[in-house]
Amino acid sequence: MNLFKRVLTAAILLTITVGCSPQAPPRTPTYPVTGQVYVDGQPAADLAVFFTSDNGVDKDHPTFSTANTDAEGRFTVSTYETGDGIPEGTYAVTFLWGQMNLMTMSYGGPDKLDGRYSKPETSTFKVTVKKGQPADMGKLSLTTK
Amino acid sequence: MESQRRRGFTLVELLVVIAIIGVLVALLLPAVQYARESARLMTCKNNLKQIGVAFHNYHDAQRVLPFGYFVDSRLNTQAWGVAVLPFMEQSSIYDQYDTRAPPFNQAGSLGYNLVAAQKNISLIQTPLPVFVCPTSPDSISKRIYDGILPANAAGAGLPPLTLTWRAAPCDYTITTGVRGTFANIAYLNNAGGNREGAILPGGLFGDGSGNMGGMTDGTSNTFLMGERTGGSTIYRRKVPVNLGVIGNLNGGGWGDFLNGEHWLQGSLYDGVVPTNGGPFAINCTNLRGGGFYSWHPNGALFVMGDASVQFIFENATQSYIARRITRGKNDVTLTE
Repeated sequence: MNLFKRVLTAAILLTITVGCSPQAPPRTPTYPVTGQVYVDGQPAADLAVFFTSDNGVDKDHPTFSTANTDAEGRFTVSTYETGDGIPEGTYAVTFLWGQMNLMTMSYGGPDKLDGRYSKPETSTFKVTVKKGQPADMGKLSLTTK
Repeated sequence: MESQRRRGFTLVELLVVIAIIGVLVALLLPAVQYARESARLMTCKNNLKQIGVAFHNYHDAQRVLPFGYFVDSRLNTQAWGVAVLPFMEQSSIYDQYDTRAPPFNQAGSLGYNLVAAQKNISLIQTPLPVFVCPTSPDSISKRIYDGILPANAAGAGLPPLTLTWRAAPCDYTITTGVRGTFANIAYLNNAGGNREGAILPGGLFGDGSGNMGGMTDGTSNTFLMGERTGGSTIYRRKVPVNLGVIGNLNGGGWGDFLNGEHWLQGSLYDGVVPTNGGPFAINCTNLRGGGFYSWHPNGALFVMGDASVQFIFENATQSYIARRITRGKNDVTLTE
């Protein structure tokens, strides 16, 4: 009888949570990644940071993680929600320091870093995200020279 | 005694009856709300259908689709919403509109007839229910807003001075194309090639000569318009947020040319838009570029190139949505 009750409760809960709303697409678990960007020794604000997986894109659950720096050059990476981090794996980190075009509402070049840090293949900045472990990339020093 | 007791109801009897009525009403109310929403959805669908048919009528007359917006080198500017007016029974407004002047308060400084420009500004403040989804909050007249394009917004001298106008809301938008994080995910980090949508800018920023023949992915597979709540209020998952002047830059009016400049790059689930966009495109935020936005539960309405109206669920994959945005990427599979 007890078992029956438990099964019934589980069934009802399952119906409420799953049956009543259209199912959201599954998300890959993410772990927080933070860092701070310096250009020529100064904290760089409004700079875009991109993370490209060394293993290529996960074809079943594709993600693309990005971050923007604040006034102190600090960033927290987002994949699905603000500051949620990156899925497990090793990523090449690339940078673009452009500006916002308010007419097209797009952020883009000319890159104040001259495209020096825009290619994942040649990037020397890497981050490895391990299950359950927040990663702090610390101070990342870039140069315009 | 017997006859006296039968004259009225006891308190318990009344309470029981009230309780039963209460339960019945509670059962009925959600159904009534659902019926009301489904009626509003129907009206919204009809609006999009009208706009779709207007685009077809325009195409029949001009042999090209309307531009998303038009800007020439002297900054004479016009929105798609003005261009299609004569094709959707709004000739009375179009006939008063002077296409030789842009609807800017600063038109005089740009060398245009200020009186004509001011007349145009007053005309694009006409609340037109066909451009408004009845599910959107607030009345149309309350949602008339001030539009702005700051000096040098699109590069040096574009525009040379800050331009302002005032416009009535439009809850529908074109899609110029797909880019950013959303395109990266949709095309598995290989987002090269032409990712433009069906409706192009005209003048300085494009030739505006999109036509039915250009939709090589098939007119029934390509969006003409989708829902994006207009006015100057930015919403993140139904919560209004104050982003300052960005709200006035959102292109939320049918006579606001910025409505025709809409590259979709997506947003995060909470409606925040990083500079490169995010993985979600429906019902997260109405920020220009952040995605499509409606107040209907679970998704938003779109009118396709063949003027059919489709409801797209908010959980549709990035690739599904991107394939419907692009007009000629040759990326629609027959199995769908």
